[in-house]
Amino acid sequence: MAEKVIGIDLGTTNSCVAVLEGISATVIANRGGYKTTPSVVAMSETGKRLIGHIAKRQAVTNAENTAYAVKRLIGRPWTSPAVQAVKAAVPYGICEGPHQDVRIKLRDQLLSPSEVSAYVLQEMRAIAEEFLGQSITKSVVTVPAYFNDGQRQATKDAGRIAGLDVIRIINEPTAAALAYGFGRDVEGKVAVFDLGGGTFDVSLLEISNGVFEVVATAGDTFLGGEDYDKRLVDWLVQGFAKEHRVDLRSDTMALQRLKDAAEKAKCDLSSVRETEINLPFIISTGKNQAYHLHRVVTRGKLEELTLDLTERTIQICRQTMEDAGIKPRDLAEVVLVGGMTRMPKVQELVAEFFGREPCKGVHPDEVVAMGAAIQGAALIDAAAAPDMLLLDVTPHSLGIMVAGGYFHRLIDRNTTVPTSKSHVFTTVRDDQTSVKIVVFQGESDRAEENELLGEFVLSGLRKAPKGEVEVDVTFEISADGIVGVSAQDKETGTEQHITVTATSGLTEAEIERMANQNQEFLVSSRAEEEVEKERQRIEKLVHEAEGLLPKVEEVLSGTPFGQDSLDNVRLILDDARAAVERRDAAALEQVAEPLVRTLNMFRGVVDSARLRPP
Amino acid sequence: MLHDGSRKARELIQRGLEHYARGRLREAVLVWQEAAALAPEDPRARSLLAFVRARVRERDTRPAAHAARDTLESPIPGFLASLTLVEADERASDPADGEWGRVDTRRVLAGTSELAAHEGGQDARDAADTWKELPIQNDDMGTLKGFAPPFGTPPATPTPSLPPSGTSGPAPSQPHPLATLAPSRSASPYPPAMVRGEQSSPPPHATKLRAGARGLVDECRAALEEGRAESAALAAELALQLGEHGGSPGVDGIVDSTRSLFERAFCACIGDMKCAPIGAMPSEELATRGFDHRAAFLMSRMDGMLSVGDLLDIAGMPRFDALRLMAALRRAQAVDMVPP
Repeated sequence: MAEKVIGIDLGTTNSCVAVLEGISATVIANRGGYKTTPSVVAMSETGKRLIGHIAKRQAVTNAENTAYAVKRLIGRPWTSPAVQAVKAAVPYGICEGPHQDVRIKLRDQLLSPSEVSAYVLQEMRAIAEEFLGQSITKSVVTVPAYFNDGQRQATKDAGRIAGLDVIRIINEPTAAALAYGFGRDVEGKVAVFDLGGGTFDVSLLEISNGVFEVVATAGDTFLGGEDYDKRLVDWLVQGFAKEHRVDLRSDTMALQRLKDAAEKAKCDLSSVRETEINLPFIISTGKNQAYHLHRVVTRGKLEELTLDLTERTIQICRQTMEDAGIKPRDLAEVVLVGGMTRMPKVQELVAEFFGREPCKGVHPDEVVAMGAAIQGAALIDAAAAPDMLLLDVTPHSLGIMVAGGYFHRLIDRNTTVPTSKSHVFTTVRDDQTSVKIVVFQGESDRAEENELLGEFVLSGLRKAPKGEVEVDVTFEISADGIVGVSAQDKETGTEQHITVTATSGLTEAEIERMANQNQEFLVSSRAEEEVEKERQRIEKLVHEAEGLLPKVEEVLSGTPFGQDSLDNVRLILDDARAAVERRDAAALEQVAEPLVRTLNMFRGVVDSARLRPP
Repeated sequence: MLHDGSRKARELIQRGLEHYARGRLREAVLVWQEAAALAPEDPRARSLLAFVRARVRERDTRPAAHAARDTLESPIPGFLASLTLVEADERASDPADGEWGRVDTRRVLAGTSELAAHEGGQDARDAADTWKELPIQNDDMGTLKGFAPPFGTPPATPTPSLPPSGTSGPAPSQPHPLATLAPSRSASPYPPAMVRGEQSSPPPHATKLRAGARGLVDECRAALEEGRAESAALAAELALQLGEHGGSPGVDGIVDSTRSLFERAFCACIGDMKCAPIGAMPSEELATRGFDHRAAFLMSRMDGMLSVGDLLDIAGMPRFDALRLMAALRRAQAVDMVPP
C-alpha cells in the first residue's frame, strides 16, 4: 500500500485532518462524523485522557483539568507576555518548566504544550488511520504565519511525541491558498482572512511562479468564535438573572449547557434568521423546582451583540493593508478561513472592506487541512502536484544587532533554504579589540523587539581607529533549518561561530521520554480495552449460565453425581464472577475456558431435558 | 433448587416493590403479606412489611407541625404524602393490623393542613399550603413508559410543562421522581442531630427501618443474581433514598456498606458500557416528566456517540451518582442505547 501523508490543521480551537485521494483532497470525519475535532485535552477524575469532543463537552464542569487553546503557549518561553496573558485567562494551571518553558497542570500531571498538542495530533492521526485503514507516520502540519522558529520546532516536537514525522511545517494562509489552487490559476496578491474559534489572523500573500510569500500578517490571538459565543451566553445569563434573579454562572452544569447551546445557536444563525435555545431544567431552585430556559435568538440580535468584534477584525485588516502599502484593489482574491467566517455579517463586512466577494468554494474550516494534504502529497510524489514549486523558506528575517540597538538583516524572511549570506561590519570605537555578535530573528528594526537566538564575542582585533577593522559576518542556513553564524577578522583570519538550532524548550531526552511514555500509554490503553472486552464477554457468559442454572439444578439434582457436578459449576461461576468484578486480565483468562465448557454443558443438559418426553 | 412457593414469593416481593415505588402502598402491603405467607422462611417480605409500617409509625410519632415543615423541606415529599394517604386507606380497610390501626386520623392529608396551621402559626400555615400541593394521584404512571420513580408519586395534573415560547420560568411546584435522586442530606426532614445520629436515644422503630434497608439490600442482591437488573436497580435506589432520608441511625451504614452492590445493580440496569445512550424523548416531553437539572445535564451530554463509559467521565458528578441517575433514566425509558 502506497505511503500516505496527511495534512493536519492544528488549530487553536479545532483541528482538522485531510489526505489527498486521487487529485482532490478529502477531509476526514472523526468517529462522531464531525470534520473538525476540538483541540481540547482533559484528564477525567479517574485519570482517563479525554481528547476532542468528549473533552470539550466537560470543559466547564471540569475546567481546572481541561486544557484548550494550548497553541497560544506552544514554543513560547515562560516570560513571554503571551504566556502571562493566557495564564490570566484560562482556568487550568500553567507554571514554569525546567528550561524557562511552560508546563500545563492537568490533575497530577505536568505536561508541556507540545505534549498536549501531541495528544491532539495523535487523535487526528487515529482518525486518518481508521479512515484509510493503514498506519500513518508522515504529516504536514500548519502553523500561523507569525510563528517563529521556536514555535515551529515545538509543533514538530509535538508531532514526534505523537509518533508522527512532520515532514513540513507550512503557513496556514499558504495552505489555504494552495487548497484554492492558487499558484496555478491565480497569481498576484491574495488576502487570507482567518477568523477561527480562538484567534484572528489576516495575511497578505504574494504568489508568483508557484512561490507563496507572506508579505504581511497580523491578528489578535484573543479574538475568535468563542468571544461570539461568550456574548450570547452573557446575554442569556443577564436575561435570565433579570427574570428570575438566578445567576446561571453559579452552576457549572447550567453554564456548560448554556455554552453548548449558544455555540449551536450561533452556527444555526448563519443559515437561518432565528433559532430557539431551549434548555429544560437548566438549574434547580433547591426546592424541588427547576427553571427552564427558552429564548428565541434572531440573527439580528447576534449581530448586534457581536458587531464590535467583527469590526475589530476589519480594523486589523485595514491596519495591515496600510502597513504593507497594499490597497484592496491590488488584491487578486480574498480567501475566508475559519468557521466564524460563515457568519453572514462577517462576510458582509469583509466584502465591503475589500470591495469584492470573498472566495467561498471550500469550507472555511477545512481549507487549511486540505492545503496541507496537497502539499504533503506533493512532497512524497511530485506527480501529485506537478505545477507546484515546493520550497522551504525561512519564516522570519535573520540578522544581528548593530550600533544604536538596530537590527541589521542578513537573511530576509521567505528566503529559500539552504542559503548563505555575508556582510562586512566595522568597529564603532577607536581601539576596539572585540565585537559582540548578537543574533536575532524577526521583522522589527529594533533588535530588542525581535527574538534573541544567541550571541558570541570575537576578540583579538587589532587596535585601530573606528571603522578601520573589518569583520566579516556570515549567516548560513542548512537544509535542516540549522542556522550557523560566524564572524571573521578579515586581517588576522581569527574566527568565532555559533550554531543556532530552533528549540521548543524541550531537550532531546525529554522529547524522547515523552514519545516513549505516549507510546506506552497507547499500548496500555489498547490492553485495557482488550481486558474490558474480555470482561464483558465473560460477564455475558456468566449471565447466560446463571439463567440456565435453575433448570440444570432441577435436572441434575436427581442424578447420582449431580450434586458434585453442581458444586463444581458453582465454583466455576463464583470464580468467573470474581474475575469479572476484579477486572483482572489473568483471572479472566483463567476462567474463560472452564466457563465456556460449563456453559456448553448447561446448554446440553437443558436441550436434552427439553427433548425428553414428559 | 427453588420451590414454587419461593419463586412465587420472589415475584410477589418484586411486584410489591413496584407498587411501593408508585406510591401504591396498600397493594404493596397486600402482595408482601401474600409473599410472607407463601415463603415464611424468606425474611425479605417480612422485613419490607415491617419497614413500611415503621415509616408510617415513625412519622406518626412526630408533632404534626414539625412533620408539615419537614415535608416542605423534604427531598421526597411525595413519599410522605403517599404514606399519609395510605394510612387513611389502611386504617379503614385493614383494621386487623394493629399497627396500622393505631394511626392517628388527624395525620391524613386533608387534616394535616388545618392541624399544622393550628399548631405551628404562620410557618406551619405556609408549610400546610405546601402539603396541599403534594401529589396525591399516580394515575398517569402508565404514560411514563414503565418508569418507576424511586419514591413518591408521579405528578398529579397539571404536570410540569415548558413555558410558552420566549419566556422562561420555574417548573410547577411538584415533586418529581428524579428530583428526589440527588443526595440531599441538607434537606433532610429530620433535625441535623438525628441525621448525624447524635440524639441520645434512637427514634422509634429504628430497628424496623434498618431491617427494611437490609431487606432492600437483600432484594437488590437477589435480583442481581437472578438477572433482574431493573429490579435490582430499583431496590438499590429505594435503599439509597432511605439512607438519604435520614432519621434512622444505622440505615446510612447499611446503605453505604453496600455501595459496590448498588453500583453493580445500576451497571446491570444500564447494560453494556460501550453502548451509546441517546435521548428517547423530546425536550417538551422531558420537561413534563419533571427531570431535575442533573438528569437534564446528563441527558444533554448524550448524543448517541459517547458511550456510557464516556458519559461517566464527563458527567461532572461522582461516578456513582452518574450511574444511579443513568439507571433511573434507563428505567424511565428516557434513553435508548445505540449498540457499539
